[in-house]
Amino acid sequence: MVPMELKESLARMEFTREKRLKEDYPQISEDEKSVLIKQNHPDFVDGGVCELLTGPNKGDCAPKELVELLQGNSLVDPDVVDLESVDYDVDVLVVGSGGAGATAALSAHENGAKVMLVTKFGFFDSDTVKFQGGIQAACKPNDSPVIHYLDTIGGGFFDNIPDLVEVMVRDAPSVIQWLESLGCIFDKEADGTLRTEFGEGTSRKRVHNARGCLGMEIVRNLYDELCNRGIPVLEYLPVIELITDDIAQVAGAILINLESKKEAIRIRAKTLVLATGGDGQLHYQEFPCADHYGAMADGLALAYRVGAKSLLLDAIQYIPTGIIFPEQMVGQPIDEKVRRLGAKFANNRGEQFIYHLETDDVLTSAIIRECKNGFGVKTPKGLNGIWLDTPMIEVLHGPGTIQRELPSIYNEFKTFNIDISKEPILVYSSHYFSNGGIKIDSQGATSIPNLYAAGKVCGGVHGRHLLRDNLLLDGIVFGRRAGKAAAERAKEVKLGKLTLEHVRKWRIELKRSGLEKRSISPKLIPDYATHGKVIRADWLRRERFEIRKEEERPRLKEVDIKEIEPILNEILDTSAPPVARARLLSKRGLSVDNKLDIMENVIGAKTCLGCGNCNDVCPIVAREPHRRERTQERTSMALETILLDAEECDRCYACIIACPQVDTSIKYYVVNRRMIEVISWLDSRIGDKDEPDLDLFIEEALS
Amino acid sequence: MMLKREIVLKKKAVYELSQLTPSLKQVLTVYPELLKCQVCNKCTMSCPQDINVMEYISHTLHGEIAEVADKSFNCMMCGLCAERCSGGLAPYHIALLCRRLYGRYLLPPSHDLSDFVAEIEGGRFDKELSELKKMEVKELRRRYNERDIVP
Repeated sequence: MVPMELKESLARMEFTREKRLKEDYPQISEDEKSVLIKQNHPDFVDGGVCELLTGPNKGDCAPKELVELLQGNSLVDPDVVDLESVDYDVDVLVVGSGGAGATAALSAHENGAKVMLVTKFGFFDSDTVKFQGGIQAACKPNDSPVIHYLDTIGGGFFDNIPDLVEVMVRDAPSVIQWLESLGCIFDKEADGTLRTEFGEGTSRKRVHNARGCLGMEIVRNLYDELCNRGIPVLEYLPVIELITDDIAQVAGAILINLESKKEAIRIRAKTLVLATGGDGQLHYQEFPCADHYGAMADGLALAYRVGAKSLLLDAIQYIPTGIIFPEQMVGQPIDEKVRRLGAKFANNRGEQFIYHLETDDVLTSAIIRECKNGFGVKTPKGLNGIWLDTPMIEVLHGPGTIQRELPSIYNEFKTFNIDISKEPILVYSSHYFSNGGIKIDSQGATSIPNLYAAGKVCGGVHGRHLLRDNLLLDGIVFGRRAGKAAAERAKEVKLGKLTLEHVRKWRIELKRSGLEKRSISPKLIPDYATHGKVIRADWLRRERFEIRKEEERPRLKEVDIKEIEPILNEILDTSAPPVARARLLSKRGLSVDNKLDIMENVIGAKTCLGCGNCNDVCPIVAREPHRRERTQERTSMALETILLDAEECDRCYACIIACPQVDTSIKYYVVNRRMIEVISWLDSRIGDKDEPDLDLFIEEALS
Repeated sequence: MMLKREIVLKKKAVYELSQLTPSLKQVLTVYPELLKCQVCNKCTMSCPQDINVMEYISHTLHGEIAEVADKSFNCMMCGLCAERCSGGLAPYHIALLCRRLYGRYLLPPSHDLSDFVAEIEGGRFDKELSELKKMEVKELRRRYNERDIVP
């Protein structure tokens, strides 16, 4: 279903479809291309990229948002932190719970280290879980690591670091073997040979998959193995600063409890593996992105402050076709296959403006130009986009082609009631991947002793252009290597006295460069979620930095009974189940959303949990069980349906008391003010002659 | 020490995959509460992925591990089924155990892969790879553009 705002433009586009089908739009010349790209491509926008003024990469260029993050102030005041004692003491500390982090933890444990894994949100909050691509590994007779190497380095425009690529292609088949031994179910033929497909930029059939959700399959197996080995996983605890010792080795980290936002935890670790993921949520030049909510380049900022070198920070990859409608899918990339099958672009007047099989750079620039000139289609959310005419595929190749060739995209739109074989998709250029990151060697070690890194936070493996199916491979290969190297290093390393000297030095350096009024880093949560007020730079400065003190947790906001007393009374007097309306009056809800209520701005969702408690306690339903057959649902709304023609609700208010989503203040009110009436009324009812005598029942039951 | 919530609540059993066998008896020794299923269907109704949870639990009780692996494949480990379960089961952990048993023991092994790994470790491609690593960009670009693409 397309909303009203888009109907007009859609009608115009459908009107011109026949014309566009016949039309052969010419490819543009090389000169026009370079002008188009120079004027519109995000890489050439004034002020989009600027120079780093301080730190290990001084003089390099990076996107403005990233520069601001890297040159930020620390959240920790080194003068008030007591590092004499620590809360945990481990061999290897792994930061991040995605594919790379979980693999690193497991591999370090295999090599005999005492490991701990910490993560910013829940364990399953990672990009790997969302990843829909496959994993490349050369294992067929006509294929070899050599061809894989050539594909990868050519795809990355020859800027890849040869050592890293070699390690990756050489380890790829053994990674598949390792994952199989963990119990991962890959797509296979009946006789056990692995089924492979073509991927982006591959010259052989080399991409393995697991029914389109390989990322999830890998992470859940790793999770199970982590639990079985008893590796502690600490959730909702982001790292806000690294600790060094007196000879400038990394020696641990300071974490903050994301829920209370005050309680800090110090961990001493002999080695530390950073696997914190990408940086899409920094939203370079406000482009949409497909990354997870927590992809804020935290690890990059932490490592930069300690002095670890980074590389290729300006190599940002954009994809021309990112979804911008429906809202839930904003930023998600659409495969090039859609265009190769024959889907063409159209602006809001239904005109084609570019040949649909140009290179990514040209298409990105053309789409941006079109929207800049006012030919974009405005979505209800206010974003601009361009139609990608998918119904053309059906016209060209016959009905049913989309469902057969592009099942995952088709099904995903189907959940939002959009049939892409009949309705086109709205797209706009979106941020796809940042190729830059921390510089590592083939063992995952950075330029700072004891600090290792793996996954998206590193740079150099993919050069300037990522081939999608190499991403998961990169994470797992270097996760394994970094974990092993970290465990081995932990056996021999001797830590000195813990300090935060590097934070002091950093502050002085910022002052010298005139940057001390910069924002804070790491940011942890995207700007649009904090509204600039929740995370403050003075978190740990204003309050005394008292460690592990049991602070009072912020109380959940509850509705003030005085405000709603009249309407609550009316609800309670009505002869219908009051639970649904009492729930709507409440301010909090024990919903899934509430679990994420780490920032104060998230509104407790008003949707019913559907736990069925109110249905279970209702005396009318218990008396007349046939009423249950009316509906399968067990929500509070369903209770109203069940009791629709009941003569009168008993008004026992048991449903309100049983509901986990009703505020306690309302429950107190009901118990203190209303229950006495209810009990006396029920009492009188028992005395009624019409009602059966309770005592008789009990006597019968006992005999 | 703060462990994963499920372990603390004893919903997730701890086991060593390499010492298990893919049988019903084994699943029951790891998760004995499987027998407590009350067939209330709360789990199926709560599943956001539209998996028929109760169905695969009954498949487990019949020892059809391959069937469970197939039917539960879209699970995203949210744990809503375990939260609602009136019998105290954790269906998503049971399904994960079955999938791992299936992936490790019941799926036919890929012999070509193990041969290939042995070849790589034997150093079959070492020479070619080290040549490519030292190659100039110009030569590398020529090789890249001239590589044959299997149709």
